[in-house]
Amino acid sequence: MVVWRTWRSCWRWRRCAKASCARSRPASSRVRARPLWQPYYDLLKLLGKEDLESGESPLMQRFAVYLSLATVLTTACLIPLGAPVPLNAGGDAILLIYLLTLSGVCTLLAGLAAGSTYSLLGISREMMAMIALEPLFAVAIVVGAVHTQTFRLDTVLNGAVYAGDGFPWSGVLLLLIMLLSFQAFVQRVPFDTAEAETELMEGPLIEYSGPKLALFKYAQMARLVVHSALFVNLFLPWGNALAFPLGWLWFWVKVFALVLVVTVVAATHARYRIDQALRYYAGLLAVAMGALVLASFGL
Amino acid sequence: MLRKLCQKMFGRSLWVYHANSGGCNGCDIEVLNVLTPYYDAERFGIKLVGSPRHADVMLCQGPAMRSTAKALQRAYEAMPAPKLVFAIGSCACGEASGTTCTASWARSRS
Repeated sequence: MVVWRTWRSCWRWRRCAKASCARSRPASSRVRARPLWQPYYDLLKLLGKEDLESGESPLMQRFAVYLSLATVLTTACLIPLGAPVPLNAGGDAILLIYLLTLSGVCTLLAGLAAGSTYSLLGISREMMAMIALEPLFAVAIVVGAVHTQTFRLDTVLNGAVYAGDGFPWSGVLLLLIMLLSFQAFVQRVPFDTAEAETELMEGPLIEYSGPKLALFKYAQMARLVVHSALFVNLFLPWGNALAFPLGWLWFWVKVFALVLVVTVVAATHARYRIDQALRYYAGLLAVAMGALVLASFGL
Repeated sequence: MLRKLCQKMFGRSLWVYHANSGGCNGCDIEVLNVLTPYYDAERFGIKLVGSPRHADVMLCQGPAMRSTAKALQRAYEAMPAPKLVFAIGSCACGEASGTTCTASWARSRS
């Protein structure tokens, strides 16, 4: 039945398009499809624009922008992205936790340096979200470290959350928590309270123009992919150790599936109010602490 | 080469800042209609932004009166360099038959 209806509607649409059934939509809408590369067009355009250097402290603003991008790129060099890690011996799990927190701190710095009312409101929301959210990824990494008794990144980022004796209760619990909070972690729509476009006009980014805005936007896009890769490494490690092209391909298939899920949820949901979001984070944090206790008992 | 590419992309991604300086909201409704999925202006990269710092185009609607012209001028100065101003509707274009609208924004810029 479903197949028949889909086929019938496809057929109708084709017939309609052939007969240039222009009354249902304006004729121009058939001219060009929505380009897949639009975010890159936007970035390139922003790079070519003037940088107004408005805001309270232009020097600090510049620093915040570069720090934000540098943090994401350093994280990308620390975690396995389907290939040998460039900075493998350069840091341990604690450095990774610091870097994850630093990417939020960059947003705070950016908003503070801009100094507009909207950006201050945005960073106060960002700070509240950070206090509730940052421990979640930290708990996941620490649980992995507790199970394997090491802070080495190559061990922890290889599904170590499931490494306990018997059924990995803490690992499964954390997988659920991270699935529910991942959207908030990459600051996408139901939880983008800090940059709420329609209320705060992008909050901390309101004073940024041209290349600086481009770098911030790029850092956000990169953060989505890098954090998805981190999620895949921590919780979905199966098949990563295959021979070179297969393992690499399978890893990126998983990462892009996660990115797709995040994007679809972002496109189909409305934003939560800050108090609703905080209540949600608090519940997740309580369960995460429970998982940590379970992990300390070796479960 | 990068600079040329950036300039070329300007037309493919116009971010629009919507400034109404005392119009009757008739043009607002038209503009918002164009941004809905029916006409779908987003497929040309045209997007509504809230801050003039992010904008490439200022959509001016309504007459630029003495009290609002200054605010419009400030919003215009807050936009980064390659920038355009579109005057929408007869009030902003100065074509209205009344007398209040003749010294409007578009006319005063030209």
